[in-house]
Amino acid sequence: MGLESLIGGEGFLTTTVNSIVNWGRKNALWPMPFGTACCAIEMMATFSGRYDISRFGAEVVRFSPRQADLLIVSGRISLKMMPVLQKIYRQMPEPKWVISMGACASCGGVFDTYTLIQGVDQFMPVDVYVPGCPPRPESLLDALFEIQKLVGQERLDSGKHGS
Amino acid sequence: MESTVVDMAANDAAYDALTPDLQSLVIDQTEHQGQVALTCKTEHQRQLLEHFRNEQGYDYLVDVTAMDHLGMDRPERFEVVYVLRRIGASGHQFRLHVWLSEDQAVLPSVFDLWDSARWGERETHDMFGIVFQGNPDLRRLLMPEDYPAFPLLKDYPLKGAGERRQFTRVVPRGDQMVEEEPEDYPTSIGRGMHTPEYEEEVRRDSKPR
Amino acid sequence: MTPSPDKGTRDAPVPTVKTLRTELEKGLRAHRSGARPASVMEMSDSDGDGRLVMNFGPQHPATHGTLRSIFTLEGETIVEADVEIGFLHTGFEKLGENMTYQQWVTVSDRMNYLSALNNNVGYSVAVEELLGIEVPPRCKSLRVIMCELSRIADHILCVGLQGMDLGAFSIMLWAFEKRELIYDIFEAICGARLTTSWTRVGGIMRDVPEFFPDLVYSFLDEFPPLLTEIHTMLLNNRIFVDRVKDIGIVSEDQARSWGISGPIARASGLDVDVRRDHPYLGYENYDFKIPVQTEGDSFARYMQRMEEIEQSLEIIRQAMATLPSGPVVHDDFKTSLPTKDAVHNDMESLIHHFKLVMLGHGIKPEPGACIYSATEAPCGELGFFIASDGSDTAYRLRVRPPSLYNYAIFPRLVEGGMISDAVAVLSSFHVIAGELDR
Repeated sequence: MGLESLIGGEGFLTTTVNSIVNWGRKNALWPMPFGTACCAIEMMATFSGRYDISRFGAEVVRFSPRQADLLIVSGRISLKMMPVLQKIYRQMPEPKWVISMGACASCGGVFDTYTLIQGVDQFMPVDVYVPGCPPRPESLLDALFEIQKLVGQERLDSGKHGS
Repeated sequence: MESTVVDMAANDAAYDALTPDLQSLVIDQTEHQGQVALTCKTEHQRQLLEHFRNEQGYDYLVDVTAMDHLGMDRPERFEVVYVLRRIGASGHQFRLHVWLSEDQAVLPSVFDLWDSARWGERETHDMFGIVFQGNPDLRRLLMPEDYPAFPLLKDYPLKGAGERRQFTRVVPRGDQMVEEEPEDYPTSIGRGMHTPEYEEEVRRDSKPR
Repeated sequence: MTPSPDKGTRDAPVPTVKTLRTELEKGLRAHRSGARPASVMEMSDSDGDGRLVMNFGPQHPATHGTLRSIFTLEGETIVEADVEIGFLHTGFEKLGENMTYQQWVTVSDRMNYLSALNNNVGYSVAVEELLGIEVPPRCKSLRVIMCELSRIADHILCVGLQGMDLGAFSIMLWAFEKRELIYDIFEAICGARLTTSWTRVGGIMRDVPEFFPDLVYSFLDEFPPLLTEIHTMLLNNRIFVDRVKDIGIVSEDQARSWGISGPIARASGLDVDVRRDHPYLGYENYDFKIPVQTEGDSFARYMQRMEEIEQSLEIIRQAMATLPSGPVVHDDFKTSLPTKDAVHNDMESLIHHFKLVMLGHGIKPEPGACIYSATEAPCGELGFFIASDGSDTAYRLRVRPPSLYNYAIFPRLVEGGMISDAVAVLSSFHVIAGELDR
């Protein structure tokens, strides 16, 4: 990212720019819903009227990974779907964060079978896990707050999200 | 105790309406809770199904599936089940069970009688390895095309044989997204995942049923 | 590599059971050779004949779940269509062979996750038929009420998604708003909004709370205005009507031959409904109509679902009015769990509970018994073929998914149409990937 390369070293200017950029990023996360199963329905309920996620800025749901920065993996991921998930993850530009929503995405959940990935974090990095089967919309909103905290602690020159 | 399903009019209707030479092809007839199941051998499957479809008007194939009797004391290993139904005023439903040996797990397809057999047979092939000759499209339906096993066989373990761990890990490293071996990257859940003790535990727990 | 649904049998030798068993014994590292599985290979462009092979899914906002379609396009017209499913395959049937009859209820509602209670009830009815037991009348009425509520939830969501796919996003938001009312009722009876696991073999989890009638009656008051609103918004909308009328026509003969059931079949004129043809849970005592359309296009499927919602509301009203009192669990404790109250206070109930829950004991049907039992799920006929070997787990638990047989005809319907028609047809079909792939 061009912005990070211009910033160097510590200083008052750096920390202020850090906090402004982080504030902007965390209050305008664009989720990419990778919804497969039951958790996807609860995710849709979170995006809908009663548990409105757009109160917290994450309103612009982008189905194209190139335009999103928060991947919400909701639902069970099977053998056939894992390469697709990895491909989508690779297509997202930096900076990006991942919420693994539900028991199946976090650890395989109820299904310890031959065809389900027992936790997507074996094969891609995950930032926040949401337990539940399916998690209530409030839990997903809580995960969003955790992501916002993570984003708020980021430093532009950490090199974590590319140069 | 009466069953919750009410109407199965004239339970022996399917068998009684068969001509005597076809009746001889039915080697067994069972009934449980008012549901009739006729059994026949592999070579008579097509003839009987054609008769039921064309002469007796069973025009709705509800389901095609199979059972694997590995290790049980049965005439053959596979039992293919067809659930046939006649819709309308003279509605009736029964099942036809067909014995199938594992050495020659081939049956003629019935897609020309009922189109619902196209995907029914495809799934049975995917899960059991039974080949339905003549089905125009017998690819795998639910499993990946290059999956090396048929999942619903009794000697295939529930937890699989390691296919679900055969992926690389996608990790951001600086500018790039690189793929690493999952063993090398510690994850919060997968820490210690591929230790020899874990592998042994998986092998021990993956006993076939 | 142009896929085609009707290509001749593959030339490659189909592996037999025997050869695969030896391969399994040799180990599987070989199959991880770095070659990407065919299912996600790039389907890129033409081989020079002006046709574009386009991949549609499995991750796409307009595919309802993880469905992949591969279209061969000439301009905007779809010349050949192929579908690929299995992206959500979970092994429910294999799980059925390893879990006891009581345990499998919990995974049954992960199949059709939009109407989980229908799955629970369908499975419980199947096992009860296998065992030959009958549940008390109060349990039957409660199950009917919850099934119909679940059916309303599924249909209204389908209509909402159908609207969203065609651009009418507000309809989806309204549908979700009213679904929250249904979720409140589910939460009151069993604690979970979506994956309820409410029924048990021989009964239900527990009796409903005292304020249950208030909840249901207030729902019955608040819900019907939504139907009028949706009709007003969509039927007067030229764009919606033009996009769904005469699109994706399924004839009655096709419906019969392809094994289609549920709203899709009834919208094509095929008058099948398991609630009337093979009644269960006392459906023969309720007075309701089975709406049937004749055109078989996407518009007919929309109208069919809306009319079925109205009929479900009618059934709920009748069931609430005639709700009997009494026990909710079958009184033979060799098959049904006693209530928690009894378990905590009565020694015999404790022993029955132990015997039913512990592995190796549990419910043991007759060895060799097979049953095929169907109920009317919102998608169609949800059937269970259960074979028992006398142990506490099923020997073969086959789920006959309505979505599988409904979806098989989809490639035929979209050939010759445009991509946007494919979206309209798919959303009117309402295929649920969880049930399709199990």
